[in-house]
Amino acid sequence: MRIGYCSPFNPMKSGISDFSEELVFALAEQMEVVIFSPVEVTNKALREKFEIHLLSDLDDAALRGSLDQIVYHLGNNADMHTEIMEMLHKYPGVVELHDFGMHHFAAEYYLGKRQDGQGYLDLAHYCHGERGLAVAQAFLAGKAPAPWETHPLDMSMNKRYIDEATGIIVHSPLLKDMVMACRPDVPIAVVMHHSADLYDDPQTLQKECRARLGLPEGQLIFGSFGFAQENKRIIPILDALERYRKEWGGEFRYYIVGKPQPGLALPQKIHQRGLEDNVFITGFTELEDFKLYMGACDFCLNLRYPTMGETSGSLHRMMGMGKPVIVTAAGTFCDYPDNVVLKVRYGEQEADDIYQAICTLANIPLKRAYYGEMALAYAQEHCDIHKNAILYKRFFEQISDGTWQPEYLDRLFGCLCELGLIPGQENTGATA
Amino acid sequence: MNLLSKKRIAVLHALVPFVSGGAELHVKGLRDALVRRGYEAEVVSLPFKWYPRKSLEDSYLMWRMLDLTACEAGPIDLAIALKVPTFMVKHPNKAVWVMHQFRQAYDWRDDPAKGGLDLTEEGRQIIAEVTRMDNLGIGEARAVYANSRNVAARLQKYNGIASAPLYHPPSLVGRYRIGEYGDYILSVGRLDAAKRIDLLIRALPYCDSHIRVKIAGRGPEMTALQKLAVELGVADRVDLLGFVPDDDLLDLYANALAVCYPPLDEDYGYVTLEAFLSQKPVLTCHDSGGVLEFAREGENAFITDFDAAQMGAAFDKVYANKAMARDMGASGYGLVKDISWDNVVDELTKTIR
Repeated sequence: MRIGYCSPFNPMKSGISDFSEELVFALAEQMEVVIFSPVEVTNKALREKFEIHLLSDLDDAALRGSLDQIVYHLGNNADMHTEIMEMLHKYPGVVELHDFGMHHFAAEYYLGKRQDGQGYLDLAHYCHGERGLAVAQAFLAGKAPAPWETHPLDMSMNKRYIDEATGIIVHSPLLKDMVMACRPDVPIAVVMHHSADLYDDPQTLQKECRARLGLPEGQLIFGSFGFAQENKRIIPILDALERYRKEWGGEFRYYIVGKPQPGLALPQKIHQRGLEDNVFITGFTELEDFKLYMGACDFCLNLRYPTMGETSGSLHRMMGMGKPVIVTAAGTFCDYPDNVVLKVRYGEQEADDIYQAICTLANIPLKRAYYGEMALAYAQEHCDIHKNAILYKRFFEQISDGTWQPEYLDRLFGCLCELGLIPGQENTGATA
Repeated sequence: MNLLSKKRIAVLHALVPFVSGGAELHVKGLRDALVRRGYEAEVVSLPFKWYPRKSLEDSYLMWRMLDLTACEAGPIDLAIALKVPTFMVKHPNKAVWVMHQFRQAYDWRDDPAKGGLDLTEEGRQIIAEVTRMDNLGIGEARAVYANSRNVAARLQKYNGIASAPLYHPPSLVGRYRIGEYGDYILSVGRLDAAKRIDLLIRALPYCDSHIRVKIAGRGPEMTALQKLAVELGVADRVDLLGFVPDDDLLDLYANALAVCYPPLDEDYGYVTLEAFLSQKPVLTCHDSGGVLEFAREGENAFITDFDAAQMGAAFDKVYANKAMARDMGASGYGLVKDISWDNVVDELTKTIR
């Protein structure tokens, strides 16, 4: 089995770049992997181990003919995925869908890069019928807000990419259902987002990380990770921490590890709540430091709302480190069992839920230990990158030899979707 | 065509348990015609029930989940769907020949006697659901036919799907014959309200007292028709025959003065063809649907409003001029004598020949 692996790679700064740079090594244990990147790959280890091409080399018919499968990694960012999507259009193959909602991508691609309003409208019509077209027209006419804000999942703008795929790989059961509602007969596999590193001894890891960062051993430390934008729910977290500090004292540190969204004015928000001694913003960090801060935590917050149906690589990294994690009860986070992650609701009671969850993990060591153990066990069972590589291989083989078959319940679900007998998932292409 | 190269065709049928009528004859006729032409044909049936709503949905789902691409004997080369919800089957070479849609969701949607689906919120949801599912199942077929122009027009109107009318002969084709032009007007068909057989009885007071009506068939309206004949004082001129065996039916057609067939918006209606093949004029109504695709006023038929006096006058016309009735019957015969299963089979099997 020789596969073409089309994805962003560093120096393109993207979670999908990091994901791919970890995964290809595991895949190479099971198959021959040929890398296709939109830009020259900078990772030395990759350059030494793999046959690497620029994405444009896929136009070489002989090279393409040497591949058993081509897999395209698609995410909701036109800077990273434009050329990949265009290659998918030219040479259909397996799509690994990192985000369900592709509206940002579509808007950036058509309205930004190509200045092609009609192309955007055509895609809205293709994906969501007359109703979707009307929403898109109202937006372009300045009569309605951006649809990706008002219809983040309903108007996902992904149908064309799903229709062009010869198979789909997603990272969560929820996304599988959503894709099947769009195209019930597509060969599809769920491969959970891998945990890059699985640690058998989280306590030792924590000690080592704290030592390397110069952080105190005994103090309660927790954090949020990745680009600190509004949908990471940093503000409600600060509200909860203000209350926690008042009621339980200030012996804790909360790290925001990632570049803060400028418009959020986090320093002012932290000051307003009197949390200057408790909340620290690291700014952007390289992956190594990112992992050190994560490893140093007693627990992590991985909230997200609204969601585009994406899965969270950070969450799986946290679980692989044996961290208890607080997540938002939305989107793909709902796939995880309640005894593996703590879920908080979004909406009016969000800050109160976050406060209660922090109290649970901060004040009850046994609970903290329990959720940490469960998270690690889940990651070991479902997110082992080497086990995942076997799942990829099996799916590629099934697609190649035409033996892929849906499971019975999936077939039933697919038929129900086709017939529109699942409320809210009528396959009318007009759900916006 | 030798046995080894026989193409395999599944004729799909949704049967209503314990009810047998034109649909069953139609399916059997198609299957037999395919076999005569050297195909290996099999009728594949599942029961159909449209109420409660979940049963309707289950019926659609069952057909959708069937795998009829192959059987133990090998691939199934063609699937022909005739009736709701068989359209839903997934097959790479599916032909739809629409004999019956779920009319409660379409042209009968406003009629309380037919469920009145358009009159309630849940009913409107069912209409939307059925329309969406039919559009999927019929729309994905490689070829779409209707069993009459009337059905094709309805499919275009409610589903936006174009189809070609494809006529087929009645089950006893080749055995109809011409006999005397007696003193009775014949009605044939299931005794249900949509067939409006009461019009024959209501017409009797308005025509020559020597004219009789013979009504062949069974159904829920039997008692009501008996009572009506008594109420109108014409019971001695009405023969409610119940079920009639094929040979007797052929005799009835052969010796009738004319055939009265006034259903409301009939899809197709074998009776028209049977009457013409027996060289009898047809008496029908302006709103009788598929009947009007063959019936031509003054040429082979008299067409009236749904009105007892007008129909009684039509009875008188044929009774008073039997030579004219004979000529009209002959004209009808000329119109339908070439409707054959061969033509149907030629069309439906285009994709596998």
